[in-house]
Amino acid sequence: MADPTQTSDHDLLQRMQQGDEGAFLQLYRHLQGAIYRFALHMSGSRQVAEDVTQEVFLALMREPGKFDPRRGSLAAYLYGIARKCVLQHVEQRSLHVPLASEEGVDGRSLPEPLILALDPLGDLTRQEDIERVRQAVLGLPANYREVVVLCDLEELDYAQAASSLGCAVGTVRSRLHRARSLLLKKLRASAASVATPIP
Amino acid sequence: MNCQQFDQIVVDLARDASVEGNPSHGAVDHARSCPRCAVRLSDERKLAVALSAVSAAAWNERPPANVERSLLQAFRARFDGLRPATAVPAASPRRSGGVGWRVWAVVAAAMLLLGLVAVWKLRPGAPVQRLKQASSPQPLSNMKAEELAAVENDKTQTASALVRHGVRRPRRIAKYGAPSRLVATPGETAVTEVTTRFYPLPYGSGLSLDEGWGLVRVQVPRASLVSLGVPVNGGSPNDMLTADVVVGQDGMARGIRFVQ
Repeated sequence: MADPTQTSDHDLLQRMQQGDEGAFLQLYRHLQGAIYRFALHMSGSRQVAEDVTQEVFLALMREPGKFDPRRGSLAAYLYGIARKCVLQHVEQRSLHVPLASEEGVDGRSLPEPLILALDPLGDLTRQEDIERVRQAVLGLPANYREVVVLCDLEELDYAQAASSLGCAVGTVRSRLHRARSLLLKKLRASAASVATPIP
Repeated sequence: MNCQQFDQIVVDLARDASVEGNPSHGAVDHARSCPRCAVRLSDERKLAVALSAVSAAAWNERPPANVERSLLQAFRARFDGLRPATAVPAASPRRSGGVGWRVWAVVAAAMLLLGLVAVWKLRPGAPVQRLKQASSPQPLSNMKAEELAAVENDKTQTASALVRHGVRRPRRIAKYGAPSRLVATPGETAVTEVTTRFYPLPYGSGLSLDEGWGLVRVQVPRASLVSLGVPVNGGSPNDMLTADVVVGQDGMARGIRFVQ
Protein backbone atom coordinates (compact mmCIF):
# COMPACT_ATOMS: atom_id res chain seq x y z
CA MET A 1 0.00 0.00 0.00
CA ALA A 2 1.36 3.38 -0.98
CA ASP A 3 2.49 5.76 1.71
CA PRO A 4 -0.01 8.66 1.62
CA THR A 5 2.72 11.16 2.52
CA GLN A 6 4.81 9.89 -0.35
CA THR A 7 1.87 10.12 -2.74
CA SER A 8 1.17 13.61 -1.52
CA ASP A 9 4.79 14.70 -1.94
CA HIS A 10 4.87 13.22 -5.41
CA ASP A 11 1.67 14.99 -6.30
CA LEU A 12 3.08 18.27 -5.01
CA LEU A 13 6.25 17.67 -7.01
CA GLN A 14 4.28 17.16 -10.19
CA ARG A 15 2.37 20.37 -9.59
CA MET A 16 5.62 22.14 -8.84
CA GLN A 17 7.02 21.00 -12.18
CA GLN A 18 4.15 22.80 -13.85
CA GLY A 19 5.06 26.05 -12.12
CA ASP A 20 2.67 25.80 -9.15
CA GLU A 21 4.32 28.05 -6.59
CA GLY A 22 1.93 26.97 -3.83
CA ALA A 23 2.88 23.35 -4.35
CA PHE A 24 6.55 24.21 -4.17
CA LEU A 25 6.06 26.14 -0.94
CA GLN A 26 4.04 23.31 0.58
CA LEU A 27 6.71 20.82 -0.36
CA TYR A 28 9.46 23.04 0.99
CA ARG A 29 7.73 23.67 4.28
CA HIS A 30 7.04 19.98 4.70
CA LEU A 31 10.61 18.84 4.10
CA GLN A 32 12.82 21.80 4.97
CA GLY A 33 13.18 20.90 8.65
CA ALA A 34 14.36 17.36 8.00
CA ILE A 35 16.90 18.45 5.40
CA TYR A 36 18.15 21.33 7.51
CA ARG A 37 18.51 19.18 10.63
CA PHE A 38 20.30 16.47 8.69
CA ALA A 39 22.79 19.01 7.35
CA LEU A 40 23.15 20.57 10.78
CA HIS A 41 23.84 17.26 12.50
CA MET A 42 26.24 16.27 9.75
CA SER A 43 28.21 19.50 9.62
CA GLY A 44 27.71 21.11 13.02
CA SER A 45 27.31 24.43 11.24
CA ARG A 46 24.14 26.43 10.78
CA GLN A 47 25.63 28.24 7.83
CA VAL A 48 26.39 24.97 6.06
CA ALA A 49 22.94 23.68 6.95
CA GLU A 50 21.31 26.77 5.39
CA ASP A 51 23.44 26.50 2.27
CA VAL A 52 22.75 22.80 1.91
CA THR A 53 19.00 23.27 2.38
CA GLN A 54 19.00 25.89 -0.32
CA GLU A 55 21.09 23.77 -2.67
CA VAL A 56 18.88 20.73 -2.16
CA PHE A 57 15.69 22.54 -3.10
CA LEU A 58 17.37 24.34 -5.98
CA ALA A 59 18.48 20.96 -7.28
CA LEU A 60 14.92 19.69 -6.97
CA MET A 61 13.71 22.77 -8.84
CA ARG A 62 16.24 22.32 -11.61
CA GLU A 63 15.82 18.61 -12.16
CA PRO A 64 12.61 17.35 -10.59
CA GLY A 65 12.50 14.52 -13.11
CA LYS A 66 15.48 12.86 -11.48
CA PHE A 67 13.31 11.74 -8.57
CA ASP A 68 12.05 8.22 -9.13
CA PRO A 69 9.20 7.37 -6.72
CA ARG A 70 9.85 3.66 -7.28
CA ARG A 71 13.23 3.99 -5.56
CA GLY A 72 11.98 5.58 -2.35
CA SER A 73 10.29 8.59 -0.88
CA LEU A 74 10.96 12.15 -1.93
CA ALA A 75 12.40 12.81 1.54
CA ALA A 76 14.88 9.97 1.09
CA TYR A 77 15.82 11.37 -2.33
CA LEU A 78 16.41 14.82 -0.84
CA TYR A 79 18.46 13.37 2.00
CA GLY A 80 20.64 11.80 -0.67
CA ILE A 81 21.21 15.17 -2.33
CA ALA A 82 21.81 16.81 1.05
CA ARG A 83 24.37 14.19 1.95
CA LYS A 84 26.43 14.95 -1.17
CA CYS A 85 26.16 18.68 -0.58
CA VAL A 86 27.26 18.34 3.05
CA LEU A 87 30.26 16.23 2.10
CA GLN A 88 31.26 18.83 -0.50
CA HIS A 89 30.95 21.61 2.05
CA VAL A 90 32.91 19.71 4.66
CA GLU A 91 35.65 18.97 2.14
CA GLN A 92 35.83 22.63 1.14
CA ARG A 93 35.90 23.77 4.73
CA SER A 94 38.64 21.32 5.61
CA LEU A 95 40.85 23.05 3.05
CA HIS A 96 40.52 26.35 4.86
CA VAL A 97 41.75 27.26 8.32
CA PRO A 98 39.08 29.42 9.92
CA LEU A 99 40.37 32.80 11.05
CA ALA A 100 37.68 33.32 13.62
CA SER A 101 34.76 31.62 15.25
CA GLU A 102 31.81 30.94 13.02
CA GLU A 103 29.61 32.67 15.56
CA GLY A 104 26.96 34.48 13.56
CA VAL A 105 24.91 37.53 14.33
CA ASP A 106 22.29 35.35 15.95
CA GLY A 107 24.86 33.74 18.19
CA ARG A 108 23.42 30.30 17.45
CA SER A 109 26.34 28.79 15.62
CA LEU A 110 27.61 25.43 16.71
CA PRO A 111 31.28 24.58 17.19
CA GLU A 112 33.27 23.31 14.22
CA PRO A 113 33.04 19.60 13.48
CA LEU A 114 35.68 17.24 14.77
CA ILE A 115 36.60 19.58 17.62
CA LEU A 116 35.62 18.21 20.97
CA ALA A 117 35.39 21.18 23.27
CA LEU A 118 35.01 19.26 26.47
CA ASP A 119 35.42 21.10 29.67
CA PRO A 120 37.10 18.78 32.19
CA LEU A 121 36.22 21.14 35.04
CA GLY A 122 32.60 21.36 34.23
CA ASP A 123 29.84 19.80 36.20
CA LEU A 124 27.94 18.58 33.22
CA THR A 125 24.37 19.63 33.07
CA ARG A 126 21.73 17.99 30.96
CA GLN A 127 22.31 20.45 28.15
CA GLU A 128 26.01 19.79 28.29
CA ASP A 129 25.38 16.05 28.06
CA ILE A 130 23.43 16.65 24.92
CA GLU A 131 26.21 18.80 23.54
CA ARG A 132 28.76 16.13 24.43
CA VAL A 133 26.80 13.50 22.50
CA ARG A 134 26.36 15.89 19.61
CA GLN A 135 30.08 16.51 19.50
CA ALA A 136 30.75 12.80 19.62
CA VAL A 137 28.47 12.32 16.64
CA LEU A 138 30.28 15.07 14.78
CA GLY A 139 33.54 13.32 15.51
CA LEU A 140 32.49 10.17 13.70
CA PRO A 141 33.74 9.45 10.19
CA ALA A 142 31.20 10.69 7.63
CA ASN A 143 29.95 7.26 6.56
CA TYR A 144 29.19 6.35 10.18
CA ARG A 145 27.93 9.78 11.10
CA GLU A 146 25.31 9.78 8.35
CA VAL A 147 23.74 6.51 9.48
CA VAL A 148 23.54 7.73 13.07
CA VAL A 149 21.97 10.99 11.93
CA LEU A 150 19.45 9.29 9.67
CA CYS A 151 18.55 6.32 11.86
CA ASP A 152 18.96 7.66 15.39
CA LEU A 153 18.46 11.41 15.09
CA GLU A 154 16.00 11.60 12.19
CA GLU A 155 14.45 8.26 13.11
CA LEU A 156 14.35 6.79 9.63
CA ASP A 157 14.04 3.04 9.38
CA TYR A 158 16.83 1.03 7.79
CA ALA A 159 15.12 0.84 4.41
CA GLN A 160 14.59 4.61 4.20
CA ALA A 161 18.17 5.25 5.27
CA ALA A 162 19.44 2.76 2.69
CA SER A 163 17.40 4.53 0.01
CA SER A 164 18.89 7.89 1.01
CA LEU A 165 22.43 6.59 1.09
CA GLY A 166 22.11 4.45 -2.01
CA CYS A 167 23.30 1.29 -0.28
CA ALA A 168 21.89 -1.98 0.99
CA VAL A 169 19.91 -2.29 4.21
CA GLY A 170 22.55 -4.66 5.54
CA THR A 171 25.20 -2.00 4.99
CA VAL A 172 23.16 0.48 7.00
CA ARG A 173 22.79 -2.02 9.84
CA SER A 174 26.47 -2.88 9.98
CA ARG A 175 27.54 0.77 9.77
CA LEU A 176 25.12 1.69 12.53
CA HIS A 177 26.53 -1.03 14.78
CA ARG A 178 30.05 0.18 14.13
CA ALA A 179 29.06 3.83 14.52
CA ARG A 180 27.42 3.26 17.87
CA SER A 181 30.42 1.31 19.13
CA LEU A 182 32.62 4.26 18.19
CA LEU A 183 30.19 6.65 19.86
CA LEU A 184 30.25 4.69 23.08
CA LYS A 185 34.04 4.71 23.06
CA LYS A 186 34.10 8.46 22.53
CA LEU A 187 31.58 9.09 25.26
CA ARG A 188 33.42 6.84 27.70
CA ALA A 189 36.64 8.64 26.88
CA SER A 190 35.05 12.04 27.33
CA ALA A 191 33.45 10.95 30.59
CA ALA A 192 36.83 9.72 31.79
CA SER A 193 38.46 13.01 30.89
CA VAL A 194 35.75 14.87 32.78
CA ALA A 195 36.36 12.70 35.81
CA THR A 196 40.15 13.21 35.72
CA PRO A 197 41.22 15.58 38.51
CA ILE A 198 43.25 18.61 37.55
CA PRO A 199 46.82 18.29 38.95
CA MET B 1 21.13 -17.23 22.49
CA ASN B 2 24.86 -16.76 22.94
CA CYS B 3 26.89 -13.57 23.29
CA GLN B 4 27.78 -13.44 19.58
CA GLN B 5 24.14 -13.63 18.56
CA PHE B 6 23.30 -11.07 21.22
CA ASP B 7 25.91 -8.65 19.81
CA GLN B 8 24.27 -8.87 16.42
CA ILE B 9 20.93 -7.68 17.69
CA VAL B 10 21.81 -5.52 20.65
CA VAL B 11 21.59 -2.30 18.68
CA ASP B 12 18.20 -3.17 17.27
CA LEU B 13 17.14 -4.23 20.72
CA ALA B 14 18.21 -0.97 22.28
CA ARG B 15 16.71 1.13 19.52
CA ASP B 16 13.44 -0.79 19.52
CA ALA B 17 13.28 -0.54 23.30
CA SER B 18 13.79 3.17 23.11
CA VAL B 19 11.17 3.61 20.44
CA GLU B 20 8.55 0.96 20.85
CA GLY B 21 9.35 -0.92 24.04
CA ASN B 22 9.26 -4.21 22.22
CA PRO B 23 12.53 -6.04 22.99
CA SER B 24 13.24 -9.54 21.91
CA HIS B 25 12.53 -11.81 24.87
CA GLY B 26 15.36 -14.21 24.01
CA ALA B 27 17.91 -11.44 23.99
CA VAL B 28 16.64 -9.94 27.22
CA ASP B 29 16.73 -13.32 28.88
CA HIS B 30 20.31 -13.75 27.72
CA ALA B 31 21.26 -10.34 29.10
CA ARG B 32 19.81 -11.28 32.46
CA SER B 33 22.06 -14.30 32.63
CA CYS B 34 25.18 -12.71 31.12
CA PRO B 35 26.75 -9.73 32.96
CA ARG B 36 28.85 -8.73 29.94
CA CYS B 37 25.83 -8.59 27.65
CA ALA B 38 23.78 -6.88 30.36
CA VAL B 39 26.31 -4.05 30.45
CA ARG B 40 26.37 -3.92 26.67
CA LEU B 41 22.58 -3.66 26.51
CA SER B 42 22.55 -1.03 29.21
CA ASP B 43 25.15 1.07 27.39
CA GLU B 44 23.27 0.81 24.11
CA ARG B 45 20.04 1.85 25.78
CA LYS B 46 21.74 4.83 27.42
CA LEU B 47 23.15 5.80 24.06
CA ALA B 48 19.72 5.49 22.47
CA VAL B 49 18.26 7.75 25.14
CA ALA B 50 21.10 10.26 24.70
CA LEU B 51 20.65 10.29 20.93
CA SER B 52 16.91 10.74 21.39
CA ALA B 53 17.64 13.75 23.56
CA VAL B 54 19.92 15.21 20.88
CA SER B 55 17.23 14.56 18.30
CA ALA B 56 14.54 16.17 20.45
CA ALA B 57 16.71 19.20 21.18
CA ALA B 58 17.12 19.84 17.47
CA TRP B 59 13.63 18.85 16.39
CA ASN B 60 12.38 22.38 16.00
CA GLU B 61 15.40 23.55 14.06
CA ARG B 62 14.40 25.17 10.79
CA PRO B 63 16.28 27.15 8.18
CA PRO B 64 15.81 30.93 8.52
CA ALA B 65 13.12 32.65 6.49
CA ASN B 66 15.59 34.14 4.03
CA VAL B 67 16.22 30.64 2.61
CA GLU B 68 12.54 30.32 1.72
CA ARG B 69 12.53 33.80 0.19
CA SER B 70 15.60 33.04 -1.91
CA LEU B 71 14.13 29.78 -3.12
CA LEU B 72 10.85 31.43 -3.95
CA GLN B 73 12.66 34.05 -6.01
CA ALA B 74 14.58 31.31 -7.79
CA PHE B 75 11.35 29.44 -8.44
CA ARG B 76 9.66 32.51 -9.90
CA ALA B 77 12.68 33.34 -12.04
CA ARG B 78 12.79 29.80 -13.33
CA PHE B 79 9.17 29.57 -14.29
CA ASP B 80 9.00 33.14 -15.60
CA GLY B 81 11.82 32.17 -17.92
CA LEU B 82 9.81 29.24 -19.21
CA ARG B 83 6.82 31.32 -20.20
CA PRO B 84 6.06 31.53 -23.94
CA ALA B 85 8.14 34.06 -25.87
CA THR B 86 5.00 36.03 -26.74
CA ALA B 87 5.02 37.34 -23.19
CA VAL B 88 8.29 39.16 -23.89
CA PRO B 89 7.92 42.56 -25.58
CA ALA B 90 8.69 42.30 -29.26
CA ALA B 91 11.14 45.18 -29.27
CA SER B 92 13.16 44.03 -26.28
CA PRO B 93 16.83 43.30 -26.90
CA ARG B 94 16.42 39.72 -25.68
CA ARG B 95 14.01 39.03 -28.46
CA SER B 96 16.20 40.10 -31.36
CA GLY B 97 18.28 36.92 -31.24
CA GLY B 98 15.20 34.75 -31.39
CA VAL B 99 13.75 36.65 -34.30
CA GLY B 100 17.03 36.37 -36.18
CA TRP B 101 16.96 32.65 -35.66
CA ARG B 102 13.47 32.52 -37.12
CA VAL B 103 14.56 34.53 -40.15
CA TRP B 104 17.33 32.12 -40.91
CA ALA B 105 15.01 29.23 -40.34
CA VAL B 106 12.73 30.74 -42.99
CA VAL B 107 15.68 31.27 -45.33
CA ALA B 108 16.87 27.71 -44.73
CA ALA B 109 13.39 26.38 -45.44
CA ALA B 110 13.23 28.49 -48.59
CA MET B 111 16.57 27.18 -49.72
CA LEU B 112 15.41 23.64 -49.17
CA LEU B 113 12.35 24.40 -51.25
CA LEU B 114 14.59 25.94 -53.85
CA GLY B 115 16.67 22.78 -54.01
CA LEU B 116 13.60 20.61 -54.39
CA VAL B 117 12.27 22.80 -57.17
CA ALA B 118 15.61 22.71 -58.92
CA VAL B 119 15.73 18.94 -58.77
CA TRP B 120 12.22 18.86 -60.14
CA LYS B 121 13.09 21.26 -62.92
CA LEU B 122 16.30 19.50 -63.89
CA ARG B 123 14.81 16.07 -64.11
CA PRO B 124 14.62 14.58 -67.64
CA GLY B 125 11.43 15.48 -69.42
CA ALA B 126 10.62 18.40 -67.19
CA PRO B 127 7.91 20.68 -68.62
CA VAL B 128 10.00 23.77 -68.20
CA GLN B 129 13.22 23.88 -70.12
CA ARG B 130 16.15 24.58 -67.99
CA LEU B 131 17.63 27.96 -68.67
CA LYS B 132 21.27 28.05 -69.50
CA GLN B 133 23.44 30.42 -67.66
CA ALA B 134 24.67 32.94 -70.23
CA SER B 135 27.47 34.36 -68.18
CA SER B 136 29.04 33.90 -64.84
CA PRO B 137 27.41 35.99 -62.19
CA GLN B 138 29.50 38.62 -60.52
CA PRO B 139 30.09 39.14 -56.85
CA LEU B 140 27.34 41.03 -55.12
CA SER B 141 29.56 44.04 -54.61
CA ASN B 142 29.87 44.34 -58.40
CA MET B 143 26.16 43.75 -58.79
CA LYS B 144 25.45 46.68 -56.59
CA ALA B 145 27.74 48.98 -58.48
CA GLU B 146 26.79 48.11 -62.00
CA GLU B 147 23.76 46.08 -62.70
CA LEU B 148 21.64 46.58 -59.67
CA ALA B 149 21.84 50.32 -60.03
CA ALA B 150 18.94 50.18 -62.41
CA VAL B 151 16.85 48.38 -59.90
CA GLU B 152 17.80 50.83 -57.23
CA ASN B 153 16.39 53.74 -59.17
CA ASP B 154 13.11 52.39 -60.11
CA LYS B 155 11.18 50.42 -60.19
CA THR B 156 8.01 49.03 -61.17
CA GLN B 157 8.42 45.87 -63.01
CA THR B 158 5.96 43.52 -64.37
CA ALA B 159 6.65 40.01 -63.43
CA SER B 160 3.93 38.52 -65.46
CA ALA B 161 6.27 38.03 -68.36
CA LEU B 162 8.59 36.08 -66.13
CA VAL B 163 5.93 33.77 -64.93
CA ARG B 164 5.73 30.64 -66.97
CA HIS B 165 4.38 27.34 -65.99
CA GLY B 166 4.03 28.52 -62.44
CA VAL B 167 7.67 29.53 -62.13
CA ARG B 168 8.42 33.17 -61.64
CA ARG B 169 11.70 34.49 -62.81
CA PRO B 170 12.58 37.86 -61.40
CA ARG B 171 13.93 40.48 -63.72
CA ARG B 172 17.35 40.59 -62.09
CA ILE B 173 17.83 36.96 -62.80
CA ALA B 174 17.13 37.49 -66.46
CA LYS B 175 19.64 40.26 -66.64
CA TYR B 176 22.39 38.11 -65.08
CA GLY B 177 21.64 35.15 -67.19
CA ALA B 178 19.83 32.14 -66.04
CA PRO B 179 20.18 31.31 -62.38
CA SER B 180 20.90 27.84 -61.31
CA ARG B 181 17.83 27.93 -59.10
CA LEU B 182 14.34 29.09 -59.81
CA VAL B 183 11.63 29.68 -57.28
CA ALA B 184 8.13 28.38 -57.75
CA THR B 185 5.33 30.55 -56.41
CA PRO B 186 2.17 28.57 -56.96
CA GLY B 187 -0.99 30.52 -57.33
CA GLU B 188 0.79 33.70 -58.28
CA THR B 189 0.37 34.74 -61.88
CA ALA B 190 0.91 38.40 -62.66
CA VAL B 191 2.33 40.70 -60.02
CA THR B 192 3.34 44.31 -60.17
CA GLU B 193 6.28 44.80 -57.86
CA VAL B 194 8.44 47.60 -56.60
CA THR B 195 11.85 46.50 -55.41
CA THR B 196 14.71 48.17 -53.61
CA ARG B 197 18.36 47.76 -54.38
CA PHE B 198 20.16 44.70 -53.04
CA TYR B 199 21.67 45.11 -49.61
CA PRO B 200 24.63 42.89 -48.79
CA LEU B 201 24.16 40.70 -45.77
CA PRO B 202 26.84 41.02 -43.07
CA TYR B 203 28.72 37.80 -43.67
CA GLY B 204 27.77 37.15 -47.28
CA SER B 205 28.92 40.23 -49.18
CA GLY B 206 32.51 39.09 -49.46
CA LEU B 207 31.63 35.71 -50.90
CA SER B 208 31.92 34.94 -54.57
CA LEU B 209 29.00 34.04 -56.81
CA ASP B 210 31.21 32.39 -59.41
CA GLU B 211 29.35 29.12 -59.32
CA GLY B 212 25.91 30.58 -59.82
CA TRP B 213 23.24 31.91 -57.58
CA GLY B 214 19.53 32.06 -57.09
CA LEU B 215 16.87 34.26 -55.63
CA VAL B 216 14.64 33.09 -52.86
CA ARG B 217 11.50 34.97 -51.95
CA VAL B 218 10.88 35.06 -48.25
CA GLN B 219 8.71 36.74 -45.66
CA VAL B 220 10.90 38.38 -43.06
CA PRO B 221 9.90 40.13 -39.81
CA ARG B 222 10.97 43.76 -39.83
CA ALA B 223 12.60 43.47 -36.41
CA SER B 224 14.94 40.74 -37.55
CA LEU B 225 16.19 42.82 -40.45
CA VAL B 226 16.90 45.68 -38.11
CA SER B 227 18.89 43.30 -35.94
CA LEU B 228 20.93 42.32 -39.01
CA GLY B 229 21.74 45.96 -39.72
CA VAL B 230 19.59 46.17 -42.84
CA PRO B 231 17.97 49.63 -43.04
CA VAL B 232 14.23 49.20 -42.49
CA ASN B 233 12.46 52.26 -41.19
CA GLY B 234 9.01 52.75 -39.74
CA GLY B 235 6.27 50.23 -39.17
CA SER B 236 5.84 47.67 -36.43
CA PRO B 237 8.72 45.33 -35.66
CA ASN B 238 6.33 42.46 -36.16
CA ASP B 239 5.41 43.42 -39.73
CA MET B 240 6.30 40.76 -42.24
CA LEU B 241 8.18 42.11 -45.25
CA THR B 242 8.53 40.37 -48.57
CA ALA B 243 12.12 40.12 -49.70
CA ASP B 244 14.31 38.39 -52.26
CA VAL B 245 17.43 36.76 -50.86
CA VAL B 246 20.43 36.13 -53.13
CA VAL B 247 21.67 32.63 -52.38
CA GLY B 248 24.91 31.19 -53.76
CA GLN B 249 25.54 27.62 -54.80
CA ASP B 250 27.00 27.03 -51.37
CA GLY B 251 23.65 27.84 -49.81
CA MET B 252 24.89 31.02 -48.15
CA ALA B 253 22.80 34.16 -48.45
CA ARG B 254 24.72 37.08 -50.01
CA GLY B 255 22.22 39.89 -50.16
CA ILE B 256 18.63 40.90 -49.81
CA ARG B 257 16.20 43.27 -51.46
CA PHE B 258 12.71 44.25 -50.51
CA VAL B 259 9.66 43.83 -52.65
CA GLN B 260 6.41 45.70 -52.48
